[in-house]
Amino acid sequence: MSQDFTKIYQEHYEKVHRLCLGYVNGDTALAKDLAQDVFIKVWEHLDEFQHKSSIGTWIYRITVNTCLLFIRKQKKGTFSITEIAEDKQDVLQEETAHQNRLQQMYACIQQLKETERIIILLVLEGLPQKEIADITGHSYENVRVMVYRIKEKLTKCVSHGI
Amino acid sequence: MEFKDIQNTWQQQSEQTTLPDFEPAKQKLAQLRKQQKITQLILGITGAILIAFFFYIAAYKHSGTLIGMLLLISVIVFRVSIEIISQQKLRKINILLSFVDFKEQLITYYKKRKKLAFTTIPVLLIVYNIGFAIMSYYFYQYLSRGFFYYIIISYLVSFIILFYFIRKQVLNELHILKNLQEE
Repeated sequence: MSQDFTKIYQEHYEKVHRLCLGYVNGDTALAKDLAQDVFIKVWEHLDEFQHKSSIGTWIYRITVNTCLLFIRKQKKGTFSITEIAEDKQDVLQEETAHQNRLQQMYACIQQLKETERIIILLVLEGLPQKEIADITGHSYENVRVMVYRIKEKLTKCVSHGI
Repeated sequence: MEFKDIQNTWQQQSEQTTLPDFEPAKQKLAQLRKQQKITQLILGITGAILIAFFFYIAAYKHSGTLIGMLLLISVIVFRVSIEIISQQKLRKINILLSFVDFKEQLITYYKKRKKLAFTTIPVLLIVYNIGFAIMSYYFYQYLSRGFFYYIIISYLVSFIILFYFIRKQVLNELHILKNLQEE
């Protein structure tokens, strides 16, 4: 089991960490703790994995539930939309632009409701809608409609700060 | 900007993520389990001491102090039990459920917590104050004035601090419930 776990940990850590990072508004320390919590749960429940879905889907299910369980002390996090708008004036280099866009994304994701936030994070990871439906327990039709709506909302927010 | 650009930016971000060693997490888990056992043991011993103290008082004092002590001790034991059971219930929610079912279970949990906060907890606080009022009558009779006022002031200060923390916790849980119920 230990070897299986190490392999799973190495293969899935990055994705889990990235999703957690999006959930906690880009706070790297919190995201690391949250990712650690996820893998503690994976480690504890690994023998309960029934191969009904892929291990990736199973880990994402644990990840989104752990994120939801995570009690946020404050709603506002590391980045805010106004902060970034001011910083934008100084953007000269491509890397800074990339970072700013990322921060803007974190801030916009933070504006979404709990379910929307989880769904868009899974979409950003590139998961197919069927898999998102499997993870969340929503119907495929429902996910399709929600994804369309949230995508529009996020694009509008990242582009115009609304 | 299109959503595809946003997605690209997103997926490029963690190229610099380093994989942390998982061993400390395993140790942390073991330590957590140990701490939980120690906490339960301490609470058990505290409860036993309180009950023993109660019987000691009961054997030597009159019915007034007995009732006062009984109310104070019962409220503490009841309050601690509620918190322990509540924490256990939260831990027992199956993490392997689908997001929708898990969220539903969390909402049910926080609704119960809300009910506790607005019904049981105020009753407990009132009962605790009644217990203290009864005890302070005896403190007034048997203790020096200085010591009596010291106890009253200490009680008031600690009650205000306790109330502040209870209020903070309740507001936090209400905030979580509100977030969870947003659709």
